Amino acid sequence: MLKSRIREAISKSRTRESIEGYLFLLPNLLGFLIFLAIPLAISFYYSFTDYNLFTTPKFLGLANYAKALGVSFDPQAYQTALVQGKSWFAAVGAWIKPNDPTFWVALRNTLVYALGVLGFSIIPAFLLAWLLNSRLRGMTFYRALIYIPVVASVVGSALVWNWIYQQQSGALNTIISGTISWLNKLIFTAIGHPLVDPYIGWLVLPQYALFSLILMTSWATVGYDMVIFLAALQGIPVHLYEAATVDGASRWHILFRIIVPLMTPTIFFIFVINTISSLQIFSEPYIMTQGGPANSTLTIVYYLYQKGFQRFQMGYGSSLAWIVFALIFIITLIQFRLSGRWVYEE
Amino acid sequence: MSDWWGLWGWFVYSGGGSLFNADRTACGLTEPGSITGLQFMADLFLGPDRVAPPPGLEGGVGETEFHAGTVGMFPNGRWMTPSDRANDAFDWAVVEMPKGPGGNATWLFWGAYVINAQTEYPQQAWTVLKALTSPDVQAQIAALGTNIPSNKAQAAVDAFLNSKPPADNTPFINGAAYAQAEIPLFTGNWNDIVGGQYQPNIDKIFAGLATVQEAAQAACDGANPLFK
Repeated sequence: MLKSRIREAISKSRTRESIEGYLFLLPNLLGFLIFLAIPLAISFYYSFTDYNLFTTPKFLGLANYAKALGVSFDPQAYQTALVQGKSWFAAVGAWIKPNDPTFWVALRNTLVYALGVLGFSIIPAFLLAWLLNSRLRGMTFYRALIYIPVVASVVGSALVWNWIYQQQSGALNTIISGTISWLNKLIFTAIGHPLVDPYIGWLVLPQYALFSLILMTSWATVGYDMVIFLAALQGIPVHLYEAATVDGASRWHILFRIIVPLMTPTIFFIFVINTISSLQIFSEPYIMTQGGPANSTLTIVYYLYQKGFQRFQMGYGSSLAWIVFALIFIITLIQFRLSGRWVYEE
Repeated sequence: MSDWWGLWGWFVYSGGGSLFNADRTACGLTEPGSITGLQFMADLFLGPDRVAPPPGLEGGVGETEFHAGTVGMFPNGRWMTPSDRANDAFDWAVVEMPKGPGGNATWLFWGAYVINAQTEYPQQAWTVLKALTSPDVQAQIAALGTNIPSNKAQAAVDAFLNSKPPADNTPFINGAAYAQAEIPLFTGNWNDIVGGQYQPNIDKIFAGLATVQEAAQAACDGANPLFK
């Protein structure tokens, strides 16, 4: 009898604890369901439909995915290109006809952008962290200075960089023009070969616009990467440096034989995080270039925004969103699979 | 000028061409008149006599430079004239756009109000619509430089004609005789065709990456499958 009462009391207590636990979870759970899980499920459904926000979605099956990813082949165009004297590569390009060529332009831009940001942020961040990992006076100030762009809002940074990149009166072209003018006065005019001011249209010419965005994002990312690298650098045991120095290792030997191998888990982390955020790039082209000029900064997320929210093709836009998800998932998976070959785990 | 379609589109139209074919079921940029207009535009900005920097998001010249007094003239819409009027640093006026081989050209923009046929509140919507198109509100809109009145009542028309975004409304009134109304008569997806296919190729002309013929052909190749 007593045992039964005790069991009953424990059971009641557990039930009450469970209810309390769920109540504590509820705000977060509701937020997750309302703002993430349900919209994700709806977007997945829309990706199989023709939906313009105003009329009832019409089920299309895989048509949206086929439109984005599908290609057809035009042997006639291949032959014509060869007859016109175009290269074999150009002829193959003419032979393959994507169903939605703009999607492939956006995909190419996104991949180039991601690669560019990885290169222009990780390497400088690593070198900066290495340089700043010392006990020189004012080091805290320099570290804070490099970190400032991370806390600045993307919108504010983008507007400032818009001004920096302005062709006619921007800071960058003013510096380049001033430097060229100074060099001409100093050397080149005297030897009869004055340098010509390139007067670069950073954001207005297709050949420079994507690079300009890469540079701006890298500037904004370097601070974060540097802080992570710095923390990892400071976790390397001092006795390893001492032992290497006693053995006569140079600064470069220490860098490449001790620091870099021990930092590979951190490098991998930064690599994955930067890849994921770069593939989702939206704000910079939205604010600075609107995907132009000539689609040169049209990224895949900006393209899905155009399709979904500017052209009201919500079904196709949703399918593009899921393609971006799949792309990021596959690339991250490959990164993890390849990490075993170069990431040093203790 | 900026790279807005209304401005490069004006060159197409004044060259004797059109953004679309006659029944608006296909791209018209490869038509001889369109090529003439676009070529004139390209020569103007990129040729040996380049009169101004080519357009771009920040390239080209426009409102800012006009207000700063560094350019003598620039093309723009009537809706921008109230802000220009606020600039009293120098005298300025509006004139009709120059005549091209295709004759006079300009765009006709208006703001149409619509009620969804399936709305659950037709009476309330009608009340709002009547308020929006009343002569008083139309006069306020006209003073902002935008929109030909949606209400044909004489009071609304008078309010529009007597509004003074620029001091002289004559060029706009004259323009009504030959103005081209592309968007309201076009039933395809404007953003997909003009924004998605025409604009990137026009950008290539301005960037010197494509000839007018190449850009027009690429624009039409991309756009024609999108016409319904």
